[in-house]
Amino acid sequence: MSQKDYIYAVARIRFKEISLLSDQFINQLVSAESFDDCMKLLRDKGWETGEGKPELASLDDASRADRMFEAERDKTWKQLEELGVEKSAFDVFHISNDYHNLKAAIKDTASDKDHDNIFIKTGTTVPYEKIRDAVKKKDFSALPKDMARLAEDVLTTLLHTDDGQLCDIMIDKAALDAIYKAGKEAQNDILRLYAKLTVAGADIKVIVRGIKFKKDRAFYMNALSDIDELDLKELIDSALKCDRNNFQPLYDYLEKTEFSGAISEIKKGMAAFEKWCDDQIIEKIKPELYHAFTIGPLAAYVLGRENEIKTVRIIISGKLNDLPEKAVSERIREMYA
Amino acid sequence: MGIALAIAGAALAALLAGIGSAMGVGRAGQAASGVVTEDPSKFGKVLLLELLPGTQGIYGLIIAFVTLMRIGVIGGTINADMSWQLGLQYLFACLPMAIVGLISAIQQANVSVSTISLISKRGDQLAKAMTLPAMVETYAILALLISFLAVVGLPTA
Repeated sequence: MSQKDYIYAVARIRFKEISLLSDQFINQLVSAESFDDCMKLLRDKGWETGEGKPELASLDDASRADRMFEAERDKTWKQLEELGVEKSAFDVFHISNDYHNLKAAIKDTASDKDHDNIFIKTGTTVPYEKIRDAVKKKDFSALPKDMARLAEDVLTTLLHTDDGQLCDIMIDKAALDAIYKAGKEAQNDILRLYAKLTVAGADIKVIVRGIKFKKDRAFYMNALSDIDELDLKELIDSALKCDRNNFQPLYDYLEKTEFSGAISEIKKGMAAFEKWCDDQIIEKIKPELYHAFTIGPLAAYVLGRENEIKTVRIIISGKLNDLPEKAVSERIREMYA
Repeated sequence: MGIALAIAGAALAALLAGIGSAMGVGRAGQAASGVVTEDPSKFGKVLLLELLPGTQGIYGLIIAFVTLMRIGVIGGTINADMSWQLGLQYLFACLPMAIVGLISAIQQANVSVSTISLISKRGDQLAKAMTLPAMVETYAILALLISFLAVVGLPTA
């Protein structure tokens, strides 16, 4: 699609942006008395809370909320489909779902039970049935080349080591590599930025957790995705010099990179760091609110929607688990619109 | 030779400014239809913004028309023996409108597309949304003026 072909789609997205949740509305949700009050506020905003659907009446609150998130995610992709934008343009957002499905398919096969509900059914580049069947039959010819090779390696590793955690690490790393590669190949800055921040954030998370659990170099080599923005050797060296009570060598290394802002958040804790990663993406896509010709505003809208779904999920689970308002507020992401 | 150059000038004024306007109105039209799909009540407002890049085509037509009148193509007093120097002068006189018309129409459309997005979110801001693309119009009007003065200042054929 050439640049000018996005003019129509962007004009429509501008209108849809009006219904995105604002920071003010999110604060209102946080202050709501109960789960039901939250659902009422969301229903008034047009969210699919399942009102008037008798089949959802028997579900517990958590399942009802899950259905709502699924429906909202579907709604975003249906909106984009309606705009005539090729789904493949957003493959970078779907790759992690494909690899999640690969993990699920391996677990499904290993446990010899049918777990249909562990698969992500929409927002994938490869249909989940294809992945599930390929793993079940151990015939990977129908899968994309990289994924087929990985699935074969993971199954062999599982057979020889019976180490499920190692297999998860292999798949997670492959997912990050694939996201980074897709981002680099993308024609738009927003897609490239998303891929870069997602993978760098994941690498730093692995490092921080690795330090806490005293992981060795081999673990880091298996788990970290090699990206241009981080020098893997230096990053691992700095991690190996750290211990549970002293992260200074890691901070010293990060200070030299474009992720120096992460240091203060890592000091606060993983939740603060995860929030920082998400807020970085939102902050950097905000200029797309004023662009009119490229796929950027569409990608930014998808990220904005994902961000609000994630934030509402945090609030809802806070309400369901009676978490104090302060604890929930600390995890609230910045909104796109 | 002279008459051919003069007609080429008129043709370029109509052609390039017309192409610019067609492209401009087309781009603005895509944005306008996007807004109207979501909110049909905004049709009137976005139509105004869509039409703004269309004026360059009209200015090009005016210059072409005046040129053709001055060289006698309209009116039946055509002089086939016009000197090439005079023909070239007519050609150059038409160029400001031709070139500025093409470029300003496309640039004006870019601003119109952006302000159509503004209207989709803030329907009450039509005056501001009209003013911004209208700024680009200034340069099309200046080009129209200079081409017009140059063409009417040249001797008739």
